[in-house]
Amino acid sequence: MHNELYARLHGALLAAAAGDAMGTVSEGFAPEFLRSRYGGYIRDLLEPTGDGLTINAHAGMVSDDFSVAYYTAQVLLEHRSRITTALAVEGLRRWWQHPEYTCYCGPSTKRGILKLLGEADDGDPARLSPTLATNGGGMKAGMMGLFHPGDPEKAVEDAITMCLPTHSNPISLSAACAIAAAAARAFCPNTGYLDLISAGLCGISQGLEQSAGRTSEIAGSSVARRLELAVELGLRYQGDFEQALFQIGDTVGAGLYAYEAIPAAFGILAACKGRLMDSLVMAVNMGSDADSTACMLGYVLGAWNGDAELPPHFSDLIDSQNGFDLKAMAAGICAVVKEGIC
Amino acid sequence: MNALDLSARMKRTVRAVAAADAFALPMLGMGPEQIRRDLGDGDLVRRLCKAPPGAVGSAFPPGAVSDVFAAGYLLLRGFLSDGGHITAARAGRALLRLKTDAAFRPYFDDFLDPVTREGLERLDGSYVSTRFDLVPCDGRRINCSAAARAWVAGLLNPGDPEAAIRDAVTLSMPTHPNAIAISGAAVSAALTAASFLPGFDCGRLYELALKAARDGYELGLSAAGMPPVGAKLPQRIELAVNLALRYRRDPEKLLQELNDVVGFGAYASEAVPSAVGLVIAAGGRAGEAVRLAANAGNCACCTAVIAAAACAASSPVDEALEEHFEKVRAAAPFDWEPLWAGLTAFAELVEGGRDVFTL
Repeated sequence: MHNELYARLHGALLAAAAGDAMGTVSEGFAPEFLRSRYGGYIRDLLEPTGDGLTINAHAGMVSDDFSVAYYTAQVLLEHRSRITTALAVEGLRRWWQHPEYTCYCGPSTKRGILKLLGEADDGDPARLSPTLATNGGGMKAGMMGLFHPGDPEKAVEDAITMCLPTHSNPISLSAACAIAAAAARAFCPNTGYLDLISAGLCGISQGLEQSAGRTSEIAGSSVARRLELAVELGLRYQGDFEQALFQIGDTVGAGLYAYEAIPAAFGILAACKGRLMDSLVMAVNMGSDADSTACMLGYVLGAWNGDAELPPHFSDLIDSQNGFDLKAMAAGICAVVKEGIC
Repeated sequence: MNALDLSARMKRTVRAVAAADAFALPMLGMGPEQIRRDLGDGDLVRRLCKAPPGAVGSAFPPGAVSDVFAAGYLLLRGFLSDGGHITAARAGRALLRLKTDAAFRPYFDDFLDPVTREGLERLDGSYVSTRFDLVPCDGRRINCSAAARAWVAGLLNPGDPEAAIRDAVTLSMPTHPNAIAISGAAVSAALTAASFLPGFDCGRLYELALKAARDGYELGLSAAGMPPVGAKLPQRIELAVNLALRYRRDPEKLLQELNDVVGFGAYASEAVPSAVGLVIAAGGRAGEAVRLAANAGNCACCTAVIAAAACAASSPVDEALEEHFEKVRAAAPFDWEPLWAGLTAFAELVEGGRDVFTL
């Protein structure tokens, strides 16, 4: 199926998976360390080195970031339905059957799933994460933008439904809505990269409004304000890839918290003017929670740029290493969108 | 400055730090808006209060302190027993008392942050390695708890920020062998030391904070031998001070902006720069800086302690802080008289060995 919608959907899926897979190699590392180790920037799907945060992985394998959304999308396509809380939970349960991905599970997602399963949380002290305002919602909510191409408002509604079971706080949810809204907006004609940023900011506002009363109050920074700061830095250092990378990483951060990774993603988008591979490379080489940041960028910029932008070997490698069929998934989403099911 | 004046200022700093911790404890984990609504009747909280039900500090009476002051107290007593000399071994032994000493065990059980906890487990041999220990970069030990104790290094180097920075590195290494955490500790120690300098103003405070953040980072990088992963302090300090200058006449707006942009959370790159911003917004007045820090919430105890230590020696006695301290004295299991005696003796040592300090 070779039409524009399909190309953008496939582009988004492939780029999100590629961002996650590229980022698993650099997650948890500092950017200066990565430059020294690799003699330059990571620009491809590489074999993990064994001393990072990946477990028994190979080049092309994704982590929790893309896989949780993939299995949720599978559930939606099987049911031929818009997301509901029950389907979101079914997606989580299906994903939980895949230890090759759940071994990366973040603290908020883990806590949410264990609660859904009725199990006690043994608490993983090695994660050392003191709050739950994490980016686990953002990493999967881009998928909702794909189910509502060109309709950021519906994407925001569904991002909230998708993320509430595991991330019931306004910081994580608003960050998730930023990604969902930008991904949806990416399908609109005459959209520039600054429009994607605006859509992200609108998504945050709408997310906060719509989730009011449904979430627990939590202390933490503002996703919107940090996003504005990141974009300011990105725009200032356009044309200077290295400066942009370090300034965004050092000032805003690119870590586990939703008010770091999501703003960093938009800052990178601004710095790279929405160019897909440049943005993925910057996110991956920023280290920290690189796979999450790159995955989120993949949804937005893969949809905006289409599937022709990625290296040709990415598609087969990612599918074969993960047992995915991203072309089929893109076709499936295309079909439900055209039938108006979502 | 003679020994009498020096010891008076040192004791004032300790009282202010204890009072800051106690004042901030009920606000732990809450945001500024929630604090105003639930504790302040729509306004900033200005008096010691009790945390609302369900909040982190709700099990504790007004005047209780957290592990932040308890750890600082143990470190200070430990170093004073050896003429104020700071060593990593003595720091480790002092902190381990949080785990082994029955009087201090509640602070370990109820409050202690995961980074310090892991550090103590490594010290007493009970730590079990995980796969995260294989990663040759460190993004786990970047919290502010080392900075929240580093005022001790500053107190024991009154008027000598450079020495305070070096001692902050030493003091931090047992639990926080991480350049970002040490950078934060260096800022806290340097500002505390500098608060004993005559004529130390907010402009010089800002410059020193930046310098200490950079120097501390480089020293921490050498000491830790592993690059850290996370946002850095100098950029955040610049942001915080800009916001402080812009909103210093509007405390609610100031707290919201600092919260939203810089943060008041557990990362050293949040709590420490925000504390610097609050001290500047408060014009170097300890009482006001502590009130602002406590009303910021989140990792309030750390922010308030860092802010208090940074300016208590140089600002006038604050009646509210002194009142809060009397409540701390009643509520907490600390031996104050030996501590005061130790500080008096230390001040006499300093007078005997050093001249007037300059930056």
